[in-house]
Amino acid sequence: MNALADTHVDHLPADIRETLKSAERLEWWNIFWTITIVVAMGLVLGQSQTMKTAWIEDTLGLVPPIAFLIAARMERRGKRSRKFPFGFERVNGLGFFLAAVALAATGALLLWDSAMTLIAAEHATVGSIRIFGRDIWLGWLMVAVQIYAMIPPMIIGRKELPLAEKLADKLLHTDALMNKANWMTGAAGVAGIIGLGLGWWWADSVAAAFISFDILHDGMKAIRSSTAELVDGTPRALASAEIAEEAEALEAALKARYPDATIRLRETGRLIRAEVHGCLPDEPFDVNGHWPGKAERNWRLAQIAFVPAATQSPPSPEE
Amino acid sequence: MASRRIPLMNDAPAARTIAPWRSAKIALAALAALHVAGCDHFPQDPGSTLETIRDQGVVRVGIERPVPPEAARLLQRIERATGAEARISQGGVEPLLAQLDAGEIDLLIAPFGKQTPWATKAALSPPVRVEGQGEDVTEWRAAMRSGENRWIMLVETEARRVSGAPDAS
Repeated sequence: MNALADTHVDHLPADIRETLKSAERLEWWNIFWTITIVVAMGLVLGQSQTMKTAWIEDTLGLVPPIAFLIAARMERRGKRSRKFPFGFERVNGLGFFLAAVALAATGALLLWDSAMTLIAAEHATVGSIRIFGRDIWLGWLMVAVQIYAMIPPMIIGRKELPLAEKLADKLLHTDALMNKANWMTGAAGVAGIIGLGLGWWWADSVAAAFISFDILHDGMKAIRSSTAELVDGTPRALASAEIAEEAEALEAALKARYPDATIRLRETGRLIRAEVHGCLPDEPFDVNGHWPGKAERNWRLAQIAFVPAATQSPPSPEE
Repeated sequence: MASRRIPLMNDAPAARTIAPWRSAKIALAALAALHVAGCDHFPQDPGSTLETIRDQGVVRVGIERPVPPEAARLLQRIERATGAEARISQGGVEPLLAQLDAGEIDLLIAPFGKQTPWATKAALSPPVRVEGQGEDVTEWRAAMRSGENRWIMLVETEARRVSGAPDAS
């Protein structure tokens, strides 16, 4: 096998490569729509604290798609070299960590902000604006923008979920969560501004605080899962910090095949790598016979390395 | 996907797929209803400032020094719009702002600098008169208690009429 001058993506099935490309296209759209939202919201911000938070949140929402696009590009283009002999497949894991931090920060920011507004009993001023010779309440414009801001994340987030599943891409999955956070904040914003219009100054902060818990929770889960990946933890499920079912099955299969060995699994980006400690492989060795799940997911198992017991010397045959 | 007919009770899976659409429709209908019925009722004052002014027939106004004719016109317009009479009290801007925040006066008319730090403490109307030029410009504005959005909107609207402000000021 030509170990140099190829990319990680070259080894993936054509079907997965196509899916990766369509995920990239989706993320370009995501960035485009998010920017239109950020601009529209910036125009009607006014003095409303909730609107400001929603605006910051939408801006932070750019972090996961940008991280994804950079990671995907490096996966596709980044050739193995002497400086990067393992290629760039783990850029996705790094992006996942960044996206997780952005998501958690969004939740924390929203929670802090709404708690502070409630404690200080701040009464948000939402004044009026003159458009086409009529004085209208700025709140109506804010509601309109918030409703607009809910639509793209709702659609894009839904489209991302099956792609993330297929690509075993936690970065993409975190972006789907970010989109969920965005439209939920939009809904809270609408409720808050309507409440404000009814004279309930506390309405938007209460709505925002409620939703921020959910966002913070998703963010913390993603941080746990992404740090697990970066410190070579056993592969985690797409949506939680628990061990993935595929990893459990693989570990069981390897255990059955090499009963005396210790199995160590880790995840590099979307791939799983296994180390079998304390024994040598069957002869002749074929990595393809080891995946216990569906055949179309076989690509996830990228490597099985064997480490013989006594010597702990360099691993024998690979792939 | 969703059929037009109302799903039957035993049609459980179909009912589940339609449910989000239905709640979206209800939300939209509620919004539309709010909009139609609500334009006149939105926004409300959390501290009922405008209601109190109308009930008692008095607008409590604080000033620091004699106001220019534009500000006097603003007061007249507010009197006409609320059917209340302006009762003027004089004092320093800072104590008056504190009184405004405590709801002891309804309106403060004073000249403010362009980058006034008070903009976060109270709601400021569009300027009715601009004095000076460049860096030293001062703008005569009315200040209202933060969050009293119905009252704020009334004063803003009248201030725009006084200054003849163009759209989207």
